[in-house]
Amino acid sequence: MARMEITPELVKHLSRLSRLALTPQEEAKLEGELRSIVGFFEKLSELNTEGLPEMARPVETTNRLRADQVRPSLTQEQALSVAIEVHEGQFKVPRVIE
Amino acid sequence: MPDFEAVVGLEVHLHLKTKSKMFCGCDADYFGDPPNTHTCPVCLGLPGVLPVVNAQAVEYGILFGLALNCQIAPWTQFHRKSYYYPDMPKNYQISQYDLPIAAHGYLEVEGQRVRIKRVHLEEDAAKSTHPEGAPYSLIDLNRAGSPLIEMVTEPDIRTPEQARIFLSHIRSIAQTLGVSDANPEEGKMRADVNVSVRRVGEPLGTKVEIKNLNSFRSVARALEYEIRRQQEILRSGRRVEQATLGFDEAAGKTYVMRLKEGEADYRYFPDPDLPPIVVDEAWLARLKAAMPELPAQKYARYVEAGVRPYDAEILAYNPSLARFFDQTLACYRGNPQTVANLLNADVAGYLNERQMEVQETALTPEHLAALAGLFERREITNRVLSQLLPEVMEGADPLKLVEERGLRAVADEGALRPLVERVVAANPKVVEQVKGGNLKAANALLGPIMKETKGTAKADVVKKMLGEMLGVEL
Repeated sequence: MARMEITPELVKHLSRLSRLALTPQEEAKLEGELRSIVGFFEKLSELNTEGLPEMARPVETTNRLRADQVRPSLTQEQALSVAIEVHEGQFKVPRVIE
Repeated sequence: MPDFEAVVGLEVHLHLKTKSKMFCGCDADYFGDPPNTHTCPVCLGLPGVLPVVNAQAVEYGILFGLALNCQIAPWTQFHRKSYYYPDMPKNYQISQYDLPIAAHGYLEVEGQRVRIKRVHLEEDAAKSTHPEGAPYSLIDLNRAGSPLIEMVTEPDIRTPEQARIFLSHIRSIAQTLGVSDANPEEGKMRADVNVSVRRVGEPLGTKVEIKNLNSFRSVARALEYEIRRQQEILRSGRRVEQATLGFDEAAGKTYVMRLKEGEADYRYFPDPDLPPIVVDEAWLARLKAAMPELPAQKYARYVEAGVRPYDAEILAYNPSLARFFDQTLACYRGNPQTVANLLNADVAGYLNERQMEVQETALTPEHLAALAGLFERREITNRVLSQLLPEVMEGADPLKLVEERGLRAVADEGALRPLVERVVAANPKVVEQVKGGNLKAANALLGPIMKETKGTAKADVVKKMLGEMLGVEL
């Protein structure tokens, strides 16, 4: 696999996708950290995987399916207990449309 | 000027009719329930939970794919589609990417083949509302994790009418299979539309996407508007801009939601929590064996039985009427067209007025067969038929009603003659008009005769008699 270039632009792009507001100092710090993390994984590229099938999961299980049966849900109170703010039985979040 | 043509592709989402959600046991029937009462750690997206695929949802996906002549993937998997929005508590949607459950199918719509690119399974997002003027949005997670089918066509549709018919066929198929209620009014089916316009024979134009159309009529209207708009732009020599549009129902116009800046970066990757699914021959064979008769097959069967194509299509593509039609034919030996006429005209009129399905009425197949028989054997007139219908719809036996009320048709000229003569004698002015060539005036004579006989006099017999008496051809 081609070596992944960690650039300031890529860090900006990732922070936008992640909805994170980073300061220039944080961006610079993350750039270095990402480079070393990705570099660490690139160690794997040294392995010869010629002829091996792609694999997304470490185990070879298939068809772990569940019968279509209803099980009890949490109460509204339990569900909302993890909310930062609540309004009329709903999660209250910063407005997401104009 | 037929120099422009539209190129249309559809993306349809259908809510699957499973009992529980796609990856957890929460009750998927949340319609009308208080917010956030159908959730669990899995669909809330809490850390450390393990989603497990609903087997029924997979089978529904396969059935739907088979009905659309798709190839079913022997090996399929789920991906994570990452995006950050409060309606998606995990910050990713579990969907399918490179290996959808079904692909490469087609559906014939009025002799035209619309290719199906793919059919995949995914989970729905939460419902968010944005109260007018408030600085916040509200999130109800009841819908989050509900099972959906997403179906994408190739851009093979050319007209708004074709799009409308395609969608109604998709709905009929989904309902016939029982995989979805496919009811746009309840949000069980929604469509996004891709449309571009080009001069005939030229390469594809720039396409725009119209999102979240929630009725077949909206799809057709939005397309009509958008095709006209793009034609005007092209005629004036300008260029269509790539965009995502919404459709304003009230104004009947599309509007720009956001300009597309390039492909969104969803960073798809295989979901490590969900082992792949292998669909082997045995499983596929079992599902193929369980396939019900599809609307297109019903249509062919009805036409074969002698039903006119127009009526056969209406019945075949309405699962509830088709079921009733088949039940009625099972106890009816006459011409199926007579039953088709009754269902598509009289019964449909009654149902439309009340917004009901035939199964919700007290009408039985036996009673409908009896009514059709009476009419076909000319034992009752059209008028008596219309008169009896509401009561038969409410459970009355038409044979009993006809006997009790003496409603058998009268075609015997000898029996009708005294009445016809009396009416002619009582209306000298009308008689003059008819003799003078105003044949329509004869209706004023027909009316009292019908009233007197409670509609049982055969109109053609009475007209013939009147014509002879007055010396005109009625």
